[in-house]
Amino acid sequence: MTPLQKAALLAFSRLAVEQAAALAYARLSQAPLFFTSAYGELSPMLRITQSILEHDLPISPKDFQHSVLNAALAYLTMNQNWHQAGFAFSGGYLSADSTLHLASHRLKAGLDTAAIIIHAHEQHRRDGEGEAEAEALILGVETPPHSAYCLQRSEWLAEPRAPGEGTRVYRELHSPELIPWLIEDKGPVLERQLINRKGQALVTTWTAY
Amino acid sequence: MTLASPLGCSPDSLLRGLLTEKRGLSFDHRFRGWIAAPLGELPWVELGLKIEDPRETDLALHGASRVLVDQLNQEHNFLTRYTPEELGLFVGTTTSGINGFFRAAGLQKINGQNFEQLLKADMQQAWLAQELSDVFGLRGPSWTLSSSCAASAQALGLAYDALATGMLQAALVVGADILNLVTLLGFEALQVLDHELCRPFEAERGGINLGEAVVVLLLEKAPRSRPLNRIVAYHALSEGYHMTQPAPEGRWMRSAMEGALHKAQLSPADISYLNPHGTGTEANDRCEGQAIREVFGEKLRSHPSKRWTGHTLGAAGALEAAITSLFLNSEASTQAARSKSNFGLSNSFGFGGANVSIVFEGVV
Repeated sequence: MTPLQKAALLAFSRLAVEQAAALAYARLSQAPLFFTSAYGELSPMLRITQSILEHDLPISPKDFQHSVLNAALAYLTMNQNWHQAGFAFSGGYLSADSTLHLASHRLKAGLDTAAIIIHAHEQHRRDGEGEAEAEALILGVETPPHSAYCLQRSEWLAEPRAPGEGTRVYRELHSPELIPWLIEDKGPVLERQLINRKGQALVTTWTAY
Repeated sequence: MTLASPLGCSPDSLLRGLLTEKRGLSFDHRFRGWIAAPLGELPWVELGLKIEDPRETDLALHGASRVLVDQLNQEHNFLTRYTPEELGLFVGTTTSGINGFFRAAGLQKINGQNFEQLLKADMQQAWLAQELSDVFGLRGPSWTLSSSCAASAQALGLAYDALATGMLQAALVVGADILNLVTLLGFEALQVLDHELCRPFEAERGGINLGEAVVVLLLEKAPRSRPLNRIVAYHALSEGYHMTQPAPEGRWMRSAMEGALHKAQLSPADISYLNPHGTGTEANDRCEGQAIREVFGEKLRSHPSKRWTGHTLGAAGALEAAITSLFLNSEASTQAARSKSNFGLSNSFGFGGANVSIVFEGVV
């Protein structure tokens, strides 16, 4: 398994331990899995592209099948015997928040009664080894009793707007920038605005119980 | 819809090509120095684009997508008819941003720089969506789906949901993948390429022929003019079985088709046109063939269009949705529809067990 795949699986396993009842509810209610990653599988992609650049052919079939963006999601569904729909997103700087936005809208519209979001990101060290982190959260129509936070609102903005007091603003710069995590200090930031390099922005607001 | 496929740059040429069983695949392609197998290339000259270097995939992807979105807007004026909040963009692709990755990989090799420092927005699959948003001033929500060969089928499904729930009034669905060395050499390494012209569902089949396509579909909640067809329902699921092999007997392929029919409140007998995933590999066609027989019986003949277009990967779901629409509206189907229902079903099954079946109704 690649670092990204391991991280996604680990995040899901944590969820299974910490929020067992909510996960059982999600499974029962046929919750879709939304996997999101800005860059996807860096390690196998890097090996493949460098192989091609060096004319070191043929490339590894294992690397190729691990290189697709939904590989981590696929291994997760295999490991967890999960047969509900799984969607794999690449959303750049807005990856996590735009996926959250779509999932929460579907919940509000009654399409789903629960949804699981896995957000994963791989970093790559100088020695060539990759390491990855992932976070997983469950959204539900009726706030499950275990939940400490409720997603109030998510809004896609045509233009960034002046942030309100207490809004944390994350802006994609031209220099490499880590994609902000949805969960920070064990919970989401209560209000945040993300702005990508094209000026597209997303605002999310949570309430803490 | 606007589209470019190995069978031409218009829906008419695509339908005509399929009806006359024209092969859009050729051994004489721009990657012949790397791959001996036949490929389905876009008619770049007809598109008004020139490819100087076959490795400049993203440039080609950008150019073709731009031409086709512009063309669709000239026909439907969606950029002025909808506010930014009303119009969403859903892109399905597997390798958009691949050149950014090659550039970063090359720099890392030369400079020994930490790869983390080389990460740029142009090496994400979302790059195409960002570029199209920028060029056409699309300021509404956008999502990029990259679930392998089911990418644009998933994009279509989620766009349909977004309209059905009132989240959006219209959605632009772009299915786009251009041939590149990662894809070509990757499938070659998996030993699933047919080095002859592919023969999906035939006993002597030898694998996949790869192709490229860019398809732009406009979904509208309240269309201004008569739509070509409508999506009735779709069903997506995860096989959770294997990274590249379908589960035995096509169990989850069957579930995807049955789920879509159930949601559409249709019986198998209501389907008059079936576009299977039909890649031409031994395992896919064996499992999908069995699943189709179990759902539809022996009577319904499927139409594996990859035989003529090649497998266009992330674009395949959108391309085959277009083909299903065209067949449901073709003269033969229109005549058939007088005596029976005019529904079609399209399958997309991606790496990692991402299965999607979509039901369409031809608006005759």
